[in-house]
Amino acid sequence: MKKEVILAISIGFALGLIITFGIWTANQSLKNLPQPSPKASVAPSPTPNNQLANNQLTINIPDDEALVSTDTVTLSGTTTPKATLLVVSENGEQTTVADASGAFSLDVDLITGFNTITVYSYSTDGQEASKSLTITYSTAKI
Amino acid sequence: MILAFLLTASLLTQIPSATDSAIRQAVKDQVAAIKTSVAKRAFVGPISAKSEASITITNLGNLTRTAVVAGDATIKLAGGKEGTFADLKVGNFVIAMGDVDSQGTLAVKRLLVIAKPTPDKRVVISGRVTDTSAASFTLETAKKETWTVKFTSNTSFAGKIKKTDIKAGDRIVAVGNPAATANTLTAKLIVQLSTSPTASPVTPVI
Repeated sequence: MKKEVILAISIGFALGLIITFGIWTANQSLKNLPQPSPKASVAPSPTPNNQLANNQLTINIPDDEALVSTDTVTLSGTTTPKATLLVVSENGEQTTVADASGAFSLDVDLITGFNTITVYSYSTDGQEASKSLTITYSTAKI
Repeated sequence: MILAFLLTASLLTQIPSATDSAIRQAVKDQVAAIKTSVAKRAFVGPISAKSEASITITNLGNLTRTAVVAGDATIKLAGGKEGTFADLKVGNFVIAMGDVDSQGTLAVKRLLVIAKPTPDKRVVISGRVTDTSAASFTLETAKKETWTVKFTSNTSFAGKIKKTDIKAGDRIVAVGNPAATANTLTAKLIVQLSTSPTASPVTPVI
């Protein structure tokens, strides 16, 4: 075999190895890129008053200052397990008990216009938390 | 050479999966962010300031909110009359409805000027029962305040309990309207809370 052919094969093999190594390195770098955190791009909540300092009561839905088009809203959240909840709304008062994990959910009737809903949580060991929401019910097309 | 090509091909097939996954995640995040940042909201409260095309509303939680009122926004004045941005005055109690952006600024689509609402007079009081009588309970709150909770035929008891089921030492919460006498409440609803010998009740008042 001619010397040039052997040289060409060697150079080709070396180049192939270099390219392979380059691609492998690039692939590893891509894998190691930090994944974007969902929280990083989420806007700050417009409802800072919804966050309780003692963290005993969290309303997951609805958001404070929500605008809804139905006359009933399902209010759900978490509190201490087996806590008694009292919900004071424009239409009256309701009670429920959180489950063993602290989750609760109940439907609250709304009046047309804005509704102030205050949720009180009374834990079995005497601790208490409360939180207020303003929910607006309108059938107008927004 | 063949080996090098095989390795290259194998690695090339892996690259799009890593890149696609990152792009997919980024798109998902962006969609979630848009969903979160653009939401239907209603700011309720008095107008505390007004500028060329926006108003500041101090909401019921005493936080300030900015609402931009464009020319195509529907404005209803008290009594249902159509209005314009020029009709809005500092001090007007409004419900501003629209889409809120990621900065928390509301693009108003509909704005109602309404009469200032009367405050909710209902009081919520919790504590331990220290005495019972035919028409009332005496409660001691966590702040060592003494309250008289009167009940009438309109008073309801949560659950299957009756007024006679409530004894001294029980922890209860009562909702009702304040009576003329200080620290006295005419109860609409009484809830018997689960009790603990060491529980220390606290008192919320709305």
